[in-house]
Amino acid sequence: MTAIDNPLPAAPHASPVRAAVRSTVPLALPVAPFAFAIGSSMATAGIPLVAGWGGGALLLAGTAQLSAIEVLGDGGGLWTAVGIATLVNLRFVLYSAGLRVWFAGAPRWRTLVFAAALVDQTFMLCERAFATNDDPEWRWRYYATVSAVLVAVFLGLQPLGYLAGNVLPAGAGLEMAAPLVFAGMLATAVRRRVDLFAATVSAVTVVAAAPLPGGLALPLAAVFGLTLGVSLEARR
Amino acid sequence: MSALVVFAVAALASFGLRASMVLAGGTRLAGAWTERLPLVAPVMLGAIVASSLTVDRGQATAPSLASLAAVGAAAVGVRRTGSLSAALAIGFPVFWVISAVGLG
Repeated sequence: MTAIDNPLPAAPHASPVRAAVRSTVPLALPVAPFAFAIGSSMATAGIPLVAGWGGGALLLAGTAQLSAIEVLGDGGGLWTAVGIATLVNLRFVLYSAGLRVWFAGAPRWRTLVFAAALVDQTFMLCERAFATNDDPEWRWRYYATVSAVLVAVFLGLQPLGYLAGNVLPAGAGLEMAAPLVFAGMLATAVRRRVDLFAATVSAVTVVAAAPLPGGLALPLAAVFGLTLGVSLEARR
Repeated sequence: MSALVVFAVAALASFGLRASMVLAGGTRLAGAWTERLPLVAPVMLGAIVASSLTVDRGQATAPSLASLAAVGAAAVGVRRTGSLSAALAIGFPVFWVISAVGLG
């Protein structure tokens, strides 16, 4: 799932379920094409629906899932796909800090269960909503409802994308769904010159390193892009 | 089945990331990550977009004009509208039109 604009915060005394549904629907809509892109990418990469969809249910992270599908579809190694998916999800460390603060005092096992469904939208919605409501029970209900709506949309639409990928003719260009979505995400992720620089370095590296065996090009591109990006940041 | 294994292992690793601060506690680690995390998304997305356009089964190939134009249009569309849906709504028609006129 992807990072998008924040909605208005929930009213302090609104029903947590109603407030969560009202806040989540605008954020769930952009998830739809993303889920569709994942489904069609699974089909074009030759990944069985059960494996891809089941894996998506375990992973619950669209960008990472799509990245792994792209790596597998390009003939990359299994560990490369795992590594890329994990790298893409590094931002969850920050979100995890949010969980700790929001649910301080709650049983740790309960917080860990809810951590499994922590995605960009959950974090953004809860950060806003919890600023005006510190009732633990309200927070849990709100968090659970947001997660349920997002997961339902995300997983519910992947099989449709998969079916479209198998039914539509090759000329429909469904293999473009993933690059298009990624390009859109890149457009929002690049906010500073150093972001553009790091993205360019990794893009050039991945093409130059394409002939390397074992799907090493992507990890190498990640290392180069991050190292040079951090170096540039340090100089400024 | 190998795809399912990839997703399962990645899911375990991702859960570790999601639970990391709950288990480790403190905000010092988060502070260190904060400095580098903004770069992760551009780096990974830049590599993935370039790879999906130019790499086919481990070989670098020239991307088609239609795919380049579609990706560019998608990026501009999302940047201007702020909606990820624009990536597909704009990118696909651009791809189809350029392919149809024989420039793809």
